[in-house]
Amino acid sequence: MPTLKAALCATAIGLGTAIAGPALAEFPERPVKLIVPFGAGGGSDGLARAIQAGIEKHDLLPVPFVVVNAPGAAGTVGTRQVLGAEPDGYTLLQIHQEMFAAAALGRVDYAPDDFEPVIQASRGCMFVAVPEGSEYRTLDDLMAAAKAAPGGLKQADDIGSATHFPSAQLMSQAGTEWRIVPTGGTSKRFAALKGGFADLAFMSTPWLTRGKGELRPLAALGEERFPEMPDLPTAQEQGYDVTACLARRYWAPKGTPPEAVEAVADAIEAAMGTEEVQAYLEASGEDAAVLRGDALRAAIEADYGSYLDVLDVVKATSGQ
Amino acid sequence: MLDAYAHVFTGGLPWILLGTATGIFVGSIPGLSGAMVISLALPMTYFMSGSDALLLLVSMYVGATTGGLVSATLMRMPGTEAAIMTTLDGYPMAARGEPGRALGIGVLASFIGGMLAWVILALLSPPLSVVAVRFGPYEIFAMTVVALSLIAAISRGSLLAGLMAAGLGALVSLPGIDPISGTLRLTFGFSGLDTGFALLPVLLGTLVVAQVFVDCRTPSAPPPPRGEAARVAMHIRDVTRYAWSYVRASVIGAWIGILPGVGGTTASIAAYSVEKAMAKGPERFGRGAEEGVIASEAANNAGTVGALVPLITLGIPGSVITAVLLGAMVIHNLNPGPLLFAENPGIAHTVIGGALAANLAMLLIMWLATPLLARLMYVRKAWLLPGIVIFCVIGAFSVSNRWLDVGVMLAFAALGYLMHRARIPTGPFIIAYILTPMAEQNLRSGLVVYDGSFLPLLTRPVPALFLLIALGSIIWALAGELRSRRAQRAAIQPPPGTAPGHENR
Amino acid sequence: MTDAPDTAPPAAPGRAAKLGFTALFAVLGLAALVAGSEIPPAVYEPVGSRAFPLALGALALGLAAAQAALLLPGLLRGRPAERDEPAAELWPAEARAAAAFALTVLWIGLVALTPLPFAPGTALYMLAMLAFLLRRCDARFLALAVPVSAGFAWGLTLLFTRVFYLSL
Repeated sequence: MPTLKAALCATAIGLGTAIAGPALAEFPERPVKLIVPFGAGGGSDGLARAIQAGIEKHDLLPVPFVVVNAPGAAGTVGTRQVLGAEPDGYTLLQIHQEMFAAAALGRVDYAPDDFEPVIQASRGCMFVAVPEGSEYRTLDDLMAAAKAAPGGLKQADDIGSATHFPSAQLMSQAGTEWRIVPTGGTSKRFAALKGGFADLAFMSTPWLTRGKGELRPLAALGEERFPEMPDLPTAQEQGYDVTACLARRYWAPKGTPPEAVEAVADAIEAAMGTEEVQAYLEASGEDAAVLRGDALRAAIEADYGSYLDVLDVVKATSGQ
Repeated sequence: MLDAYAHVFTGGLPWILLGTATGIFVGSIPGLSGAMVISLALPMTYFMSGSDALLLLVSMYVGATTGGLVSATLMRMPGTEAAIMTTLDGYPMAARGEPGRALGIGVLASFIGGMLAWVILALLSPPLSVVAVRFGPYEIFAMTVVALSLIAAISRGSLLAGLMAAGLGALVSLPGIDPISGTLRLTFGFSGLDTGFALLPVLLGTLVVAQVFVDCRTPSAPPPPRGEAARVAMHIRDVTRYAWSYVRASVIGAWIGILPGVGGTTASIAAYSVEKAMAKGPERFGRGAEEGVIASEAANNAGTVGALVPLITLGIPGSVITAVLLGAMVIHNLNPGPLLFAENPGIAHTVIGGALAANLAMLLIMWLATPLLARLMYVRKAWLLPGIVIFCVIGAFSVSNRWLDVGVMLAFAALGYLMHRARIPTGPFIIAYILTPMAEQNLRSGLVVYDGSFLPLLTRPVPALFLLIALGSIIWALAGELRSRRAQRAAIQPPPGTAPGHENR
Repeated sequence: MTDAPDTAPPAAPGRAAKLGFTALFAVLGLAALVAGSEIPPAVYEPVGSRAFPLALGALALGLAAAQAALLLPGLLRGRPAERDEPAAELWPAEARAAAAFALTVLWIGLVALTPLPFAPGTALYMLAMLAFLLRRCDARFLALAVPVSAGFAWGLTLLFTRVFYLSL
């Protein structure tokens, strides 16, 4: 029974490596597993699959690069699996600021510091949208209305999610608060705007075209204007120091050897240039935004800091 | 739209054929249900594209409803629940020496029912979704209430059991992250429960693994005696002569299927009653009346296809199987609901086209494979049971790559077994488990939108209408329950010690 | 199994199981009530996070009470209830199901918590289940069941670990 023998052999080898521990020479000698803590088919999964395809097609790693979906509890199920994994570079996590939201709100007992940042791959900035028939034509109109009637405006969003925090930043910049209508992802927000159940929402860039004729964009929420809509001013230009960009980042368990982190980061950075990943960026409206090492650490610190700064506003608008 | 249809009939065709054939096969084996095979296939579809996954599952759904016909006709055992009414007239027809003709009529009825309902699906879904896009949280909430109240209506006669099952399903859906405030609740400090009881472990446990343990009770029962292998005999004459029966049953079946909360079984019972009431010789029913087979089979397939309407236009499941399909769409990030047509027209039309293709495939496969199926029904189930458990374990594990979900599945298998022994139906349990979070989220969202007021539930026309329907169906169910209890008491009282005659198996 | 022990009147499994289910339902409803009452009341919308647990918990207790009220008189009077399906000859049906369940739990426990790899554990489980269900352990059975179990277990394991990269 050759299969049986092979399988026994394989198991024996697998057990052997597990016992021998992480510190073996020549980092990638078995498949590298990337845990995506969200379901198949979403944006996170899309980038992960594109990176995987890029790495596999262009032989950027000598071993297979494997994507595993472990969805649940707003990304914390998969994140915990990486938190508890052997710090050997063979288990990685890809997550955006949802991790910061869960940590800031104290929903989990870990913090970004408990992970080793590997690389930031892409960024997708949102924009402020109101329904096409809305009376608000500029961000200033909208903020003036918010100030005139605190708590009167309704924003379609997810309470306690990675977009609730930048919304809270906008509230504190405008010096007022409004209500969050819990709806869900961008398509549900679109439905809420269209049905007249909300006044504003943060939407992702594909909705610039998909929502044409139904949505009126008021402000881009990046540092720069969108190339696909150069007339749309940023919120910063209009005097509100707010950005809302989902940054997709890769993490390893704390204590992963730097060589392993470097090797994986190299492969992912190289994959960013492949046509597979470029096609993903094209379709999702995200931009390549590679950050590594100290620049990455600084960006994470600033990002998480900005979340902690508005924690009170977020809690006040979550009914806690 | 044409792209979607082109894909269905080219790249999607293998999945259609595979799904339909598997569905028919499983549907024809008593004890293996359609919900079971679809739950089992769900984890496999993680590795497929969303549209192919839906094609596979939808065709399994269509196939499983039809497959029940074979064992119902030849062995007087409904292979699936939806074929219960087929046993009444299909088996007597076979017994009097017309098994081929009974099967032929049944296959044709399934096909015609499915096709007529498909026309309704294709015509009605796009405009309905345009209306539904404007639905706000209270409209959706009111519809989930209708679906939940229909649980009561379909549990007539054992209302308390149905309500307890639904109550348990609702309770089980609560732990985890609160859909509105994003905070944790009912996790009892255990982080493994942060995501609650995930869909797949619950489905696999209560529907599949529980059934395996039920089958373990008597696995060595000898297979039923071999009957004569039948072939399918389809005659034009049987179509023209009973043309109106086909149409009536199909239309009734399709409309009942469209109601959120009920599916093929209710459809076939209703159509059978109507057909019997309208027939010239109602006394023939139950003794091998052709119209009986036609009514049951046309209506259950029409109801199956009709139940896809609320699924793709509103995101509200009409039956256990459509609840599983809804779960499949969520897993593949396809956002079932009013926006599906606007946002993902390809997927909506893939489902519709898939239902059409599955119906055609069903006709072909039933025609060719029924003699084979008749023989396969005698396989000893004991050989299948361990493999089914192993598949379920891998399936539950694959949800989030953790053993905890397998443990959850085993716990729900124990629960499902207990429910089987206690004669508590699992249908209301699954439907309530899926609908409760939907109801809660929309109710509380609506409260934010309407400044904490419940009033719009009564002043907005759509929610008010739906709540009225819900109230009506609850009253109807209660009245029926009281009447049957009174009748039961009257039947029991005179000779003391007579066994109560309800819930015979 | 939460099934009531054999003190129940003979041949009343449906009723005993129903009582077991009702008890379980009541316990879960109580748990939802207790845990729900610890959730802070809502300030943001009138219903809040605690309303559904509390309402459903109360509903569960009410339904369970109603069911118990219907069941208990019959149980106390010991009226013979519906008959069970014909009992299997060697083992009572309930014990067979419980044994199959225990075997499954043992298999999962070993594979999940000990270093026993998935494939051999699964092959052994399948073989044991087949022998138990078919009540055979003769040479002819083994000649068929051993290769079937081993092939099934290793085949699935290879498929899911090598192609789909589950960490079984």
